[in-house]
This record gives sequence, structure tokens and C-alpha cells, in this order.
Amino acid sequence: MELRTTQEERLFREKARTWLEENVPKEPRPPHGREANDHDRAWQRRQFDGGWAGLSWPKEYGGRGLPLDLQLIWFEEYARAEAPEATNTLYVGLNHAAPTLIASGTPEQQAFHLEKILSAENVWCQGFSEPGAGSDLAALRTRAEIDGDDLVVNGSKIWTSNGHYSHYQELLVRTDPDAPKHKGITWVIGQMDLPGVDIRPIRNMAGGDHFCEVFYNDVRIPLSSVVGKVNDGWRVAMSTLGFERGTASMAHQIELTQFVENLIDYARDNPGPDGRRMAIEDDTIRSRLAAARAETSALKAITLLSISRARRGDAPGPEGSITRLFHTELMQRVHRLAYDLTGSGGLEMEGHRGWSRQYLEQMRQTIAGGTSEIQRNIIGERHLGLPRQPVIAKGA
Amino acid sequence: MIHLLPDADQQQVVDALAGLLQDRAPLERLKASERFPDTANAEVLGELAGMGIYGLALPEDAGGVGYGPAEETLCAIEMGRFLVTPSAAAATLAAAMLADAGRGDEAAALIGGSATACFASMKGKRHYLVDARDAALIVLVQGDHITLYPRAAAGSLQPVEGLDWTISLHQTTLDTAQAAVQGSPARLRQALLLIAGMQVGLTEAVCAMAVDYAKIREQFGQPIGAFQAIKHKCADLAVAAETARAQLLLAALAGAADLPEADFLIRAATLVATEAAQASTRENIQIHGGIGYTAESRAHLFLKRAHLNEWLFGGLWAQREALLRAKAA
Repeated sequence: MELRTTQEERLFREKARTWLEENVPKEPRPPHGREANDHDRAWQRRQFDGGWAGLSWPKEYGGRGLPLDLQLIWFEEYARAEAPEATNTLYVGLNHAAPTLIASGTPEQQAFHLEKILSAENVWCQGFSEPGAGSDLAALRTRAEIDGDDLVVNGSKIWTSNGHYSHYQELLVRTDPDAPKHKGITWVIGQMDLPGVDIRPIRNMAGGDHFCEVFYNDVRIPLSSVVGKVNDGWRVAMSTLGFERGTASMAHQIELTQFVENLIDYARDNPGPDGRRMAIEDDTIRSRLAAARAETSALKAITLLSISRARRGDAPGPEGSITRLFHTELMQRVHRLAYDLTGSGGLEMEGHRGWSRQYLEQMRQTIAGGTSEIQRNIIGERHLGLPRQPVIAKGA
Repeated sequence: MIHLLPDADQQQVVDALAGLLQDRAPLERLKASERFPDTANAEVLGELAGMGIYGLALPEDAGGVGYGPAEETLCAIEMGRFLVTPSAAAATLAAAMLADAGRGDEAAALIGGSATACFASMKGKRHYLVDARDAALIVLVQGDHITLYPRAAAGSLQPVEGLDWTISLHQTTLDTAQAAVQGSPARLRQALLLIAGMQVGLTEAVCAMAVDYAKIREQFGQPIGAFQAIKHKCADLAVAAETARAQLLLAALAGAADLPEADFLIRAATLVATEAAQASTRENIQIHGGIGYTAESRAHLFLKRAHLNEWLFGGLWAQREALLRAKAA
């Protein structure tokens, strides 16, 4: 256990602060649609040109190879400067596809894709879930048959965030229908403008259309786009899910801390539920604000614990699910508190600073990327060593 | 750089203490169905004095061992795990406050174990003494203050039946004019970290206890831990333990470095740790089913201690107020 601020950290923080002051976009980020995606890409491009993208990526892949401690300082300054939310339409490419390509891609794949992800030239989406494969992801059935130098893909994917703005997709397909379900899956780079790909946006309960259903009809993808080996896709996919459940959400955690501070300021200056006293004078609100403050701090603390484990050389393990579960449920509590603070004003969708819409949008957090129930299974079985749940076979 | 894992040296201190407690104060010492005799707590306190625990974070020239808040907090976690009487923390705090006040001889008596201390807790205008026995000194944490009283400041002691069967409880009235030492803000931080540390230790203990039971208890032909209803409760215990531990260690380091947000982080630690301890000890009873409700099971001892510890720092309400006042990072 140790806490010290090095000269390197101090200088880095100063530089980050100065650059952010001069470069953070003045206009607010549009809440959804292509306008949001355009905004995200322009902002990412500016960070890339300024040398502030891919801070913790290895140098040989276009990053700066900085330790996670400095990455954390960057996010602290980022939140402090009230820069546009970092978890945006580029999330899959930056935090998912790129780490996968770094871990398992060929040198050609890495050379072609990584810099284009970092500079936001290319937008990526995920192609994992299917109508019949949600929590039971390995039940996926989108079929890919080898034909000469190509895979021929037929089937459909769902909940594909930003599919309609994306250039590429991390696509899981079934290449061996006769193998046990985890063994016959392949991870392949899909191109969204290939003939036979049909993308249909789905409107969500908060009014956005960021996620899509994608249909594949005899889509030909070259075998050179397979990441890892044919039929080894499950392992390739899981290695990056561990990453997502660990430190990838650091930026958002720090933004959440800032958000809680904004709630406290709001509660000091605005009437509470009884319409007479300021909200912060209300005991229930007070207690919830204190809990939110303490818990967002604890969220940062468990992330620091993850970073400490990474520093020791531990690979991301099942404890990443602890961070993810706590983070997503806390986000919902905090945004519900924001909604409650605005009283009847919350009935307007954009209401105060979009807090009502954000409250609705948080519903996805405990579903997307592995539900809370799946996270609890992972914690129970892989972290605590509890037995797997009994599987009752059909007809038994 | 913030590193929240113990280094080899720190781990050695923790292991030595855990070894001593496992050997001399195993949980089996607590007859869960009976009130615990005061003499048994005195024996454990004596063993800890032999190891120099009460002066762990005091400099060597003040009669201490010369470690810091990090090591001391890690040790508090171990003491919480073994349900050591909070008088161990009281002795640590009393010794530190006396040393600060230049009363080295009295501090040495506490560190050596020839004198003992206990905690007080406010009850309206009166006070509770927790594990009073023959304690020479009384530590009261209230609001933003920590105060040390001589035993003489307490009026007559009236024994009351305590919630926690492992520890005696008395009502008295402290004569606040007789304060021996007003502790510094640093001593208040130390007290909060020690108490939060004990909460984290017992949170981790009941997480392990519940998981162990869920692996061996069978119903419907399966260990109950195979069922999601139980597995998910166990997962929540693991989340509570991990968050409480991480927040505590971060707070301890921030306190040691005297960061501007140290008070904020420490109050967040007391709040998170106490909520975790109370929720986890309740859930542990539920996971144990009928046996968890018996006096025979140790599950209730952890629950009761989690509640007792809360009042050593003036209750959750006071933590929330202090947290809202504190300056965030």
C-alpha cells in the first residue's frame, strides 16, 4: 500500500489540464442520432491529433504506452474540464475491438485497423447478441460456412449499438454447428457495407435509436478477417469482456463522481419534495446524497484496487464483474436520485439538463454487456467458487 | 500513484497478527450461546499488548513500533475478523493521545498492557461504556471530536444487558469537565479508520462464512450455493466486502498523506463499511437459514458487533452529516 505523487504525474496533470482547457468543445453533445456520432468522432479526432488518444495503449500500436495511473489522471482532468462524456459511440472500437485486435489480431489486422479506431476514422459496433442468444451468448446461431477463401454468413444479430453509423463490426459466428456450443464459434471482423448486410435501427424507451438489428444474407467475409483461429472465437471474445468489466469504465466512473457533486449543488439551491425547504434539508434526500457520495468514492476505490492488481501483473479476472455490477447498479441509483430531485419537472423528457431521459437510459446498464444476474453468477462461480447451477435437461 | 495491495512488509505484519489471533483468540473461543466473560477479553488484550499492537503506528521514540496508518488499518481488519474487543482500538487511541500530550509514561503503560482503555458512546446526556472492566481511560468519539477521559470522570457504573453478548455494557454519566486530552484531528481520523477497519474485517468474515456454508449445506440434492437465490446473495456479500475494503484502504492512505480530501474519504469509508457490515451480517443469517437464527451459531455475534461498532463513532447519521460537509476531491 502506497500513495505518492511523482513529478511525472504532476507534469502530466498540468499538461492535460492546459490542453483540455483549450480544446474541450464549447457546444453540448447532441443526445443521440448521427449528430452525436459526428460530434464524438470530431472530438476523438481532436484528442488524437493532440496526442491524447490511446494513452495506455502499447506504443507499437499507436498508443503512448503510459501506465494506468496516468490514464486515471487524464480521466480526472477530463471530468474536471466537463469534457463530453467519454463513454460514447466510439466505446466499442476503443475499449473492445482494439484490445481484442491487440491481444489476438494478426500484424496485418493491427496495422490496418488500430490507428483508424484511435483517430475515429472508423466506427465499430458489436455483433454478439442474437434474438435467441442473450445471456446464453454461446447459444448463438448466426452461421458462417467456409467457401474457398471466404466465410459465408447467414443469420441475424440484435442490440447492435450504433450499427447504422459503424464501418466495422466484431462479429461472432457459428462455424461448427456440431461442436459443443463454446467450441464452434469464430470471431471475425465484419464490414457493415458488404452486400447482404441489412441494418434496421430499433427505437428504445428513452427515444433514441442507437441500437439496431442486423441481418446477414449470404454475406461473404474473407477468411483473412478471422481474429484468432476458426472455432476459437469464444476464447477471443471472453478475453476482452474481462477487460470491459475491469478498468475500461474508469472514465465514466469519474464522470459519475462529478455528476453526484452536481446533484448536491442542485439540492442546495432548489426546493425539495415538500416545495418549502431546499431539497438538501429533506432527510431522505440528504441520506441518499450522502450514500451516493460515499459509493461513488468506493467505486473509484475498487477501480484503484483493480489497477493495483494489474500493476502486480494479474490478468483481468472475475473480480472485474464486481466492479461492473457495483458500477451499473450505482449508476441507476444515482440517476434515479437525480430524477427524484427534479420533482414534477421530471415529467418533461429533457426536463432539467436531460436528467429524466438519462434516468430512462440507465435502465440499459444492468442489461447490456452481461446482465446483473449474469455478473452475479460469474462472481458466485468463478470468484467465490460456488458450484454451477443445476441444469435441468429438457424432458427430465 | 495509489497502490492498494499490501507490500511484502505489510503482509508480514498482517500475517503475524492473524497467526496470533488464530492461535490465541480463535473464533471458537466465543461460546456463541452464552455471554462472554470479561476476563476472556482481558486475556486477548494482553496477547495483543505482547505483540506491540497498541503502539504499532507510533514512532519508536514515542515508545511505538514505527509503522503507519496503512499497517494499523490492515491490523484493524484482522481484529474485526476475529471479533476482538474494540478496547484494543481504544488502547491504541488512548496511547496515541497521551503520547501527543507528552505523557509518555502513561502511554507506555497502555502499549505494554498494564493499563487498558475502553470506548464510550453517547446516550442522550448519559453515556454507555463498552467493555469497561478496569479500564483506566475512556475514549469518546462524537461529531468532529475525540476526547480522552480518566476513569474518574465516569460516575457510578450501572450494568445493562447489552445487545452484543461478547462485551459488557454499562450506563454512566461522564463528567465532560474532566477531559484528560482533546485529541487532534489526526487522532479522530485514526479512530474512524480503526473502527471502519473492524467493520471491514467482520464483513469479510461473514462473506467467507456464508460462502463456506453455501458450499456444504445441501437441499434438493444440491449445495444451496448452486441455486441463484443463494449464489446471488453471496455475490452481493463479495461486492460489499470488496468495496468496503478498497474504500477503507484508500482512505487510510489519503489520511497518511494528509490529502485535502482525506476527511471526505475517511467518512465515506466509515459509511460504506458500516452499511456493508450490517447488510452482510444480516444476509449471512438468512443464508444459514434456521441454524442462523440460533444462539448456537456465531452468525448473530457478527451482526451485533456490526451494530455496536456503529455507535463507537456516533452512529451512521453523524457519518452522513460529516460526509456532506467534507470537501470532495
